[in-house]
Amino acid sequence: MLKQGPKAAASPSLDVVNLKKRLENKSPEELIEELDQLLDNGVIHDTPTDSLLISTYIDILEEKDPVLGDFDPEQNYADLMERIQQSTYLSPKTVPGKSRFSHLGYYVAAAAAISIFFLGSSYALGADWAKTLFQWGGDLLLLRPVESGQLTLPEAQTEYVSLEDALKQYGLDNLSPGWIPPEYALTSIEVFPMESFVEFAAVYQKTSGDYLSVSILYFLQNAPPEITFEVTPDFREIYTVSDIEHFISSNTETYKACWINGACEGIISGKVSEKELKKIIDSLYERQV
Amino acid sequence: MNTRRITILLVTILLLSLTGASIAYARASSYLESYFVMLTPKEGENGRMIVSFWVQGTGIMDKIGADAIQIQRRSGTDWITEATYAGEDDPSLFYGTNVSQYRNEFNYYGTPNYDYRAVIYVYAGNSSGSDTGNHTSGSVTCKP
Repeated sequence: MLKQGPKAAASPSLDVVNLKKRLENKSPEELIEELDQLLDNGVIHDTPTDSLLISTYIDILEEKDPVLGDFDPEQNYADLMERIQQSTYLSPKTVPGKSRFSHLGYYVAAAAAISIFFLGSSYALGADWAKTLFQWGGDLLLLRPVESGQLTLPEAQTEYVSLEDALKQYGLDNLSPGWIPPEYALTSIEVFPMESFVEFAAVYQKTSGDYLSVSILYFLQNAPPEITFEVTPDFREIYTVSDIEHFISSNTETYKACWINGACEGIISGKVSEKELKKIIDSLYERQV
Repeated sequence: MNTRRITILLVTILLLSLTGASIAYARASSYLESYFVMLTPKEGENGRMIVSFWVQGTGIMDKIGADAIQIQRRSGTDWITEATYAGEDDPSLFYGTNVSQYRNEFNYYGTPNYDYRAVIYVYAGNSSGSDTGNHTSGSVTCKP
């Protein structure tokens, strides 16, 4: 909770609307300066109010001085290291004026503090911080979640709250995606146990009606059988992740992927882009890293 | 080409054929996404085989499932149809309604030690139209 610092940030119950109005009139430099002061004064603690305060600053900062659009972690890490090296070799006495990099320590400290607050209040705020990325841009290191659609159902609604939950109850791991495109939300999760195989069927939908289905077929007695896929002739690709080949193809209005992992065959299909489909596939294995 | 090279070539061909073995491609459809039928022979159960099928649509379908399933037995180089099950004879077994995918299974008793396969004729349709497709399972040997 805040004990002192900038006036608008001192209230235990944060007035976000007024704070935003006040911050919107400030330049990015002024915002960073104010954020510096808050962190310097040691007045921020791991509370939802303080997390909200920090995220309000960050949101306004991003509006005014956006981070890079296409984030490349490796490139950004290389840039960061280069900047740190430069800031080490440049003596403040030899650099005319006030270098922006003289605040680097503050920014890194700010990022570390922000990360602690964000992670600390993650579950309370309902965010999927397991899929969080560090972003560097505009001289500010940001900790941001990679947005995902809704992967779970309200607990009281059904026997299973997610595909992962259903699979786990059969002792199956690393077969459910940890990411789906934003705006998609899980609308049904069903398990059909039969004598020769068990089907786990998850359906995600957008409010527009767009449809994304993830089916895991767990074969109890045979190896996964041959499956016929309806596809357009122009697009087929094998996308290999974690040494598993994923056969990507397109139907009339959908993209789909299928793969075999042990006794299971997975099928993802729906109105998603090729890029989104690959990101869903990537997310199948991110928990293994 | 020496023996080692021939062996590597054969192993490569075998691996490539296995990689593609799980997938068969058919023409695009606005109603059907994917489907299969398979036979699972049961040891010590007097020729019982489980006939399992699964049909997936491109979205919620008014009706989706199997129009027919044929059970075929190998006879030399030919396949002879031993039984045909028509979906309309037992709609509750063969079709789902207002669902995006449907699956079911039933028993078929074959002659032990003969090779069998199944052929499914699938259907999916809604108010916009419908489509059909077919798929042939791999062959299995019926067990005594």
